[in-house]
Amino acid sequence: MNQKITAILLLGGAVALIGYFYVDSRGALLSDLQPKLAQDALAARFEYLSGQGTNACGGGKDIVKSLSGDARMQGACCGAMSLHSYEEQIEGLKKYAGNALIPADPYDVPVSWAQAMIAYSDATVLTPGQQAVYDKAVEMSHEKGPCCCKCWHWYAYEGLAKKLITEYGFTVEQIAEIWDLSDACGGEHAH
Amino acid sequence: MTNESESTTKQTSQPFGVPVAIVIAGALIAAAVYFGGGKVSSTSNQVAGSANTGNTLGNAAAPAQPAEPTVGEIREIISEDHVRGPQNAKVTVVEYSDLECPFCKRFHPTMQQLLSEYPNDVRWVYRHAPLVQLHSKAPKEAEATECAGEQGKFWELTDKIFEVTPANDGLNLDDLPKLAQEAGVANIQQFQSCLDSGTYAQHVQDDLTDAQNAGMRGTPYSVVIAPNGEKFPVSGAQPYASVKQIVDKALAAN
Repeated sequence: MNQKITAILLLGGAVALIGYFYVDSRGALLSDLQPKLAQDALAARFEYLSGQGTNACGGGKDIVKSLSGDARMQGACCGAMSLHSYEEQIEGLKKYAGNALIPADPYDVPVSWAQAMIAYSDATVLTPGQQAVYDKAVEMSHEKGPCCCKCWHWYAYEGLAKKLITEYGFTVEQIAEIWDLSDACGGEHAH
Repeated sequence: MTNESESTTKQTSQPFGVPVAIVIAGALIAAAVYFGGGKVSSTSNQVAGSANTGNTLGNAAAPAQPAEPTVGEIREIISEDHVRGPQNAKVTVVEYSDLECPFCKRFHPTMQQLLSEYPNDVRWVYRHAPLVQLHSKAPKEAEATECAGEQGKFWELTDKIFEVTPANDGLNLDDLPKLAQEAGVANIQQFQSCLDSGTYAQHVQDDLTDAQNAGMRGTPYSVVIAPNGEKFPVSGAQPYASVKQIVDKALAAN
């Protein structure tokens, strides 16, 4: 009887051990796979967005005003998108994921958001102190402002900066970093 | 005896029940972990942090094929056009460009490289597309190149402006006569007079209208025209390898 109980306990233990190691190895396998799957999804997204051309610089900010709020500004305006730069930008912007105002992907921005930001920019006059923050961010940023040209992106991200400064107390460094990470011109960037 | 027999039967059936239960329980746990883990994995498969702007990161990759950009109507090559490369080249690249656009400045050497690598097969037609909302100085600079063209130095001044301008209206317009001189324009007085009179303002505007008709949504914008008339759009400052690929495709389209 004791032998049978011992055999059962040993068998149960063996099953539990096998089960434990099996599950653990699956878990390890999945945790190894997760970054790769995320990477593949980002690469697929990059592939899609790099073929889009609704993010156009011609027409200045008026182009955004003329579009439906349901539309999206997708792709790069002026050059070929770089996967390496895109990955760096998306990763860098995760730092600001807690703020719903800041687009997580500058190459895929809702027109409604751009319209709202441009309207905010047009309607908002910064105080001298706020303007100083804005001006220093312009100096610090790679493109010396929200974008390389005064296209819709410039004015939308100008509005974003104004809102972040006035309502959220963002610093010079934060504004400059957000502009740098939100470049949507295409090409290689050194972030 | 019967009782002993029943007792033996019970004793022999019990040892199988417990391990089977353990195996089933183990299998259920393993299945729960496996499928649970799978769900976690597929969720993290989507790039996070986009809901704040209504961003459809996960869905954006859904369309298998992005919409192919189309080329609109392009004006025929006329005598007023500036053409670099052999007139009888198999492939024509019509470029619409803005002298103060940073990406046009970046793309200019790409076009120069294309011509040097296809000296017999490619010709380059340059047309103006100054985006005045973005670069207020670009139209006047475009006129300046036309004025230089009166003296056979269109390409020389175009190359020069792209070489020296920091882009984004960074060029001092007062420097245009000096740059024209450096580009080889002999009669600077004639050049200045041409520039002041706005002789080519309408020509520059006509080029811009043509660019818009051709489907330009930003600069630089180029159209590669194959020997059979097929047109391939090139939006933005694409790297040389991409442009070469399109030109090779055009050359093969007989």
